Amino acid sequence: MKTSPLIRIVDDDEALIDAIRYVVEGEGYLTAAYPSAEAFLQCDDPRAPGCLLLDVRMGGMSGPQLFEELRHTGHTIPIIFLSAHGSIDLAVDLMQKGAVSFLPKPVGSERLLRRSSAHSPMHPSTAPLPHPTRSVHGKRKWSNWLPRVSPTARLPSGSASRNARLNSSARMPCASSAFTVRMNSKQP
Amino acid sequence: MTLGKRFTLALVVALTGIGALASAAEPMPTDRTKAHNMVRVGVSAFALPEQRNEFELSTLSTLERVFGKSRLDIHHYSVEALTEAVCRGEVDIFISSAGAARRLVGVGTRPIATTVAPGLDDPNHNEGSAIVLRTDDERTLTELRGTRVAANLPFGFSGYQIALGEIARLGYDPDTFFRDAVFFHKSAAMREVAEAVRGGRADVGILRLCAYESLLETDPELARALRVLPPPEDAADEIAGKVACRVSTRLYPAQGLSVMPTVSPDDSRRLLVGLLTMPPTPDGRAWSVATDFRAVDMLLKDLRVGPYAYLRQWTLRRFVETFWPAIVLFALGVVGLVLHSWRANILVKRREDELALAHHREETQNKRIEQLQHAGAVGQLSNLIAHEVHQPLAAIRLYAEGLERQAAHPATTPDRIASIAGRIAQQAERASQVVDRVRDYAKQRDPVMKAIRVDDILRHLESTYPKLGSMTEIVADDAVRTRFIKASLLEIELAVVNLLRNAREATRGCATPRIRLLVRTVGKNVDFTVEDNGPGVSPERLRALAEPLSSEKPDGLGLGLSIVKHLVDRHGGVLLFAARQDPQSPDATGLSASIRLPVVPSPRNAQYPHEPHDSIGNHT
Repeated sequence: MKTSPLIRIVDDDEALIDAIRYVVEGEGYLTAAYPSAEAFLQCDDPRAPGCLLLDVRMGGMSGPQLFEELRHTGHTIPIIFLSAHGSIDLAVDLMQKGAVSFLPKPVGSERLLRRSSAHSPMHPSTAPLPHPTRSVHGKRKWSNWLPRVSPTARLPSGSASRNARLNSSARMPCASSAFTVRMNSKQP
Repeated sequence: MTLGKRFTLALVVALTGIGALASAAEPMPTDRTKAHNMVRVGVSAFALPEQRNEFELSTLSTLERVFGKSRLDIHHYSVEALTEAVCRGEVDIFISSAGAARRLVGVGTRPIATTVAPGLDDPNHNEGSAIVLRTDDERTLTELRGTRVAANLPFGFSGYQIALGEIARLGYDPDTFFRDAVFFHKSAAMREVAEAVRGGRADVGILRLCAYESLLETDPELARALRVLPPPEDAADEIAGKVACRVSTRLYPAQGLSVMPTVSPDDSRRLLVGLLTMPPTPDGRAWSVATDFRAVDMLLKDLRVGPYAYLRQWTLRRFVETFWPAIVLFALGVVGLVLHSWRANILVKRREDELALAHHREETQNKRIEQLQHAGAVGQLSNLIAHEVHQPLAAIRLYAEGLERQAAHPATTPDRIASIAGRIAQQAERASQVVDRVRDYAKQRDPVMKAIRVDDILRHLESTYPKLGSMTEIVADDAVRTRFIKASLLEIELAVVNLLRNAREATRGCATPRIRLLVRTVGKNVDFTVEDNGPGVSPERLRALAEPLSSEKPDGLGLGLSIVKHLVDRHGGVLLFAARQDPQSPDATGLSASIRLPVVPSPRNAQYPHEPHDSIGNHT
């Protein structure tokens, strides 16, 4: 099971994250969920193969902004955008810049899984992992390559309590149970 | 003249009737004389008693001679009473003025003899009136219009009516010529009349012919205080030399004796012979026969009395003939008024229609704008909420499909299924809440306003639009956060978000976009001010922003701001715009837009949970 690719989910909606994880983990993938782009940059492990399911609109750094940052620093992790506001312009723009897919919300599980599996093959022999293109040895955080970005720099101030947990966890060490990488879908 | 012909015809018929009656009485004179053997004589009072007595006595003795004393039934009447007695048929023979006699032709009266006297020798022209004024009064008759007159009797022919005849001849209405009239209600009132004029009770006095001369003898002082108006110039020739007394009027036959149809022709003949052969009284008075009563008839017609009284009863035709110029003018006036009124009505109607149309148009326009704004607000809200609805829907779909896929999986225990189903139900509930909220808002025209703490609004804003914080600096001190405003949370939030969206649009091209939401207490209001550092705003643009509905493209700032205005209006607030001046960096430009809402007192016993409960989305 160690060969299972890691599917990262960045979305500010807890329920949607939970639903996506349920479906994806049901197919045997590992998942890692982050409530914001900043949390992803701070906590995700870039060495694990897999893909990124990225919400377009989020508080703080948006999906496309994160995408730009990653591409700017040469990271080629396959990115599948999810959006409830999907305009054709935005979709075309992101695809041209190298996004692998653009899925409108609410997305069906069939489509989600097809896209995810296409870019996160269970068996490397089926399709070689496209990333990382640069050596990531010893680099356990995306943000190590992203010196221009300070994850906390643009966090909202004076947030409501409801967001406090998400925001504080973004600033907190990535040990928060909410974002623990689930190694096995069989664990409820 | 038709009227003249008619009059002549009527006169002929009347005279023929008299003749017929007279001749009808002839075949059986004995019957009449036997049945009514008595000859009833009516005597009207004479003006001058001493004359009357002598002449009256002489005349009455003549009557006795003719009819025999036993047949005579003599009564003395006042002028008025005599007229009534004649009309009732109670008199067969009477002595009266020529006027009274001619007045009664309608009931069969026929004057047969007229008195004459020395100096009054022409029986056709020996009666008239002297119109007297005070000696110093130099007015002519015409100039006496509107003055007060004194006379003996209102219906006395000799004197008053003759004088009024001159007024009628001058073209005036004798009934209204004098302002006021003083009557003494007796024939022998010549002295009283004269004294009324001298004493100023009246301006004009009317005396019977020769009464003035009598006064000169009996009371020269009184007479000399008065002067007699000269006769009318156009009749001067026919008057000259006819009478020995001063006269102001035309001349008529004097008193006479008249017979009624009840007197037989034989009696009439014998009576006339007796009168004409009666010796003159010592003062020279005697009986004669007048042949010309035309002047009397003319006078009566002018005065519209006696047989001409019908002239006073207005027939439509006579009215039209008399007053046709006035009637034409009046009719023209009426037509003009009608036309004017008709035209005015049309104009008024047209104007009313225009106003009603304009009003209707304006109302429709206002309603459309309001609907548009409401629809715009609903639309915006829907768009914002669509995202929030999509989230639970997406989750539900994934849960359900995942469950389906994993139905056969060994890990899919009943507990697991129950857990997922619970999550599905939870998300479905969340979606339906969002939908309900939009639907409620769309349905209601008037928002539910309640006192809300500013802090709750800001917290809710941040939770509903979490992206806000990344690009907006919210500045609000603790004091303002504890204030209350009366508002619909949903709407005030939408208004603020619209302003923020505008600011974001304005700063799109900026290298360092900077948007601030300043919440401050300003007097008794709370200001939600959105500041940006976008391009400078010209004064013209500021004015345009203050217009009720900007004509900007519907998708852009215009509609957004019109929605904000609409929402702020509903909250009783105002929307203010200002070009931003930053004291720290004078170069800084941009727009400052403020929503100003009045502070309300905090509601008593109100529970304000830390967590807002009126959330659109549920960002966790």
